[in-house]
Amino acid sequence: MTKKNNRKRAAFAEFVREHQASLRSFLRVLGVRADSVDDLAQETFLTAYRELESFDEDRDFGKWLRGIARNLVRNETRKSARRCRILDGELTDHLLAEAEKDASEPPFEESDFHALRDCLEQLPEKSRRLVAGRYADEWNASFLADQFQMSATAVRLALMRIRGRLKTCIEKRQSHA
Amino acid sequence: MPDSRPEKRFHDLLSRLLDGDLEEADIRELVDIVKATPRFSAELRDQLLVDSRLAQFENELQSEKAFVRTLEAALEAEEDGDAFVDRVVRFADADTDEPPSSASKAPWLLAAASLAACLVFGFFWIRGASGISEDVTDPGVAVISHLIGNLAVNSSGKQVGDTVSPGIVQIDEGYLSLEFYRGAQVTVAGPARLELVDSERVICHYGKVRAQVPPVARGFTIVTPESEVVDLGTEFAIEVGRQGGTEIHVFDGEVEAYDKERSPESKTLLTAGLGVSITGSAPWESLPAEQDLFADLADLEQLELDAEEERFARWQANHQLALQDERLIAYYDFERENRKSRNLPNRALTGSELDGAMVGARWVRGPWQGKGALSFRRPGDRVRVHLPGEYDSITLAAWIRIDGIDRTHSSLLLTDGYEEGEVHWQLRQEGALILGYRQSEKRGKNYTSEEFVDLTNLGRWFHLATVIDHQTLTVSHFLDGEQIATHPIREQDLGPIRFGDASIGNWDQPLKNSGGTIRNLNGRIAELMVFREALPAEEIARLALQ
Repeated sequence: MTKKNNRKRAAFAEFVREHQASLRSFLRVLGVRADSVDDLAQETFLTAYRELESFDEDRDFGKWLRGIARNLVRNETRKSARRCRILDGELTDHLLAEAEKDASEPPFEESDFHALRDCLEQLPEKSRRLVAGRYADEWNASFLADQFQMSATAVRLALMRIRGRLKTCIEKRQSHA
Repeated sequence: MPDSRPEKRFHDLLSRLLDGDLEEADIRELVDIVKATPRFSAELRDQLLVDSRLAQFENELQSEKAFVRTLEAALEAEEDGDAFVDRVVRFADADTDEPPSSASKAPWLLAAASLAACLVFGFFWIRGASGISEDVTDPGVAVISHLIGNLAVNSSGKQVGDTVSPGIVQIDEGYLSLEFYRGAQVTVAGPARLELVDSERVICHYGKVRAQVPPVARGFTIVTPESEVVDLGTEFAIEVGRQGGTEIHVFDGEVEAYDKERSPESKTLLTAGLGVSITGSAPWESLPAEQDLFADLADLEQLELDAEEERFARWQANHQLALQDERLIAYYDFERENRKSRNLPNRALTGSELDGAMVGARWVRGPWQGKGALSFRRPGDRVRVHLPGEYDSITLAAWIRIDGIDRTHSSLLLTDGYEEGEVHWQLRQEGALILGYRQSEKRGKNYTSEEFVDLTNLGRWFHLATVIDHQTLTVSHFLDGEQIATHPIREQDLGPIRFGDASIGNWDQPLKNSGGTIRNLNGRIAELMVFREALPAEEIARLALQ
């Protein structure tokens, strides 16, 4: 590998570390299936890498990445449903429009994980366990329902409420910070 | 008062979308709702955002490190591929002494290009495959090396050889020896309650503990309610009373003892022959180290042999009963007839007509000293049997050791093919026990247990049993005498149960399209019983020596 390539790679790795978390969240908010988010994020970075020469360093790299991501996702809406990596074409169309309307940065930095961790710790024990079951162990609600002796509907609604609470909690912390 | 129904419907749809369980028609409805109501649209986006953050935060596979590593592999593959194609093209260009005709050059280039593509693809594939094995991380910190008695239910290990993860390990009666991954050996006398923190740190809530710490494991630490003991390469023992109070005895080498805050000024060096007694906040009291107090912890091996002998004797008592048990269709005790015979005798009253024929499988040691077993390893290994008759209810029971679950299915007892009324008793790769029952021409159904075999308990002996009960219309699975699953079976689905020609540890005449047709067992079998009745749970517990 050439020296130039090495430098290019090192700089790129920096970019990846800095932007990967927010890019993945950005993709999910466009209605990408949970298990395809990483896949599409990888593709976004690979496309960016190939086009790196055309990127003007004075521009916002994150914004550029999100532009690439939007194009890739838009492309998904044209694919047949069976091989599709998004939840639903119409849903994604709507979410794409919303994302363009809302031009604000999706702020997401390492410090946000600290906020998330603090907020998770404030949850009651049972909620904490539900979150771990859903996200660390990747069980769906009907499985968790058996474990927690709740109905599947109750599990789904509980998880939804927990996500809502976490969102509020993180925002509060950020505004105080 | 605002109508709360649309809100309720929206939340129902939203919660199901996030659970990955929403039909297309419902998604349409959700899209209509969020388009009409900006507030709901914002909530949907918030939910997706937090969902993604939680997945990244909670799930190791989605960590930054894993993400960057995969991306780097993809970049490397891409660049290597480019470089390879460049080289091939250059080489082709240089090789022009005898210009090949365009007809012969084109296929060559095509081949080179597809070879490059294969390399790129192959690289992905290999990285992908090794990635999977990298991701199977071992959560363990220690291995159970000796165990006499039973560990409390919430302990992470159960038997000798099991890996123990961080968490509580409790033994109410008996003895336990742990070998920590970092090299320290810890022996415990029940009643004792330990909490493993990592491979070099353990909390002793109460109980008697003796530790041997080789130089390589220096720094091994035992925390008690009153103190923290850091080993400097030595042998020592600790006793913590149920109501608190810690005694430390040093037999060899030296240890550092601290108060529970681990304040530097509390550091006390204890050398061989010395001890200390700590009660509450009272000043520490010196005492001589007393070997005798911990003598029982020194020779667990003998105690363990005694315990094994006792279990073997109990199995022999069961064996005597089984020889006269009229409910047995077939009973293979996996005891060798003579050195040359490849016959696996049926010990049930049904007689030698039902003897099995060994193919490939080798004689090895069973679960206890003196007990035989057959080892199944290669795709050819099996025991052929023929079990005639039709039955309303059956019980299958076996002593099995699993050495690997490398196939999609590992056979215990499978009828040839899979005809109406036939049963397939096997393990699935995820580590669950399944009974397949072919109800009709069109339908076969699998009755699955929870998963219990994994990398941490390979090589351990299990007693497995499965019951099809015509009276209660259930299929139940038992692990070590304990019921681990019960499924209802509909009366119209349960016809006569048949075996006919069958294989132990393998599958003959696999069906077409059955995915993973090689189902040989990788492990050992030390006993197999087939009953014409549904055995009650107490009897299965007895067979499992519980």
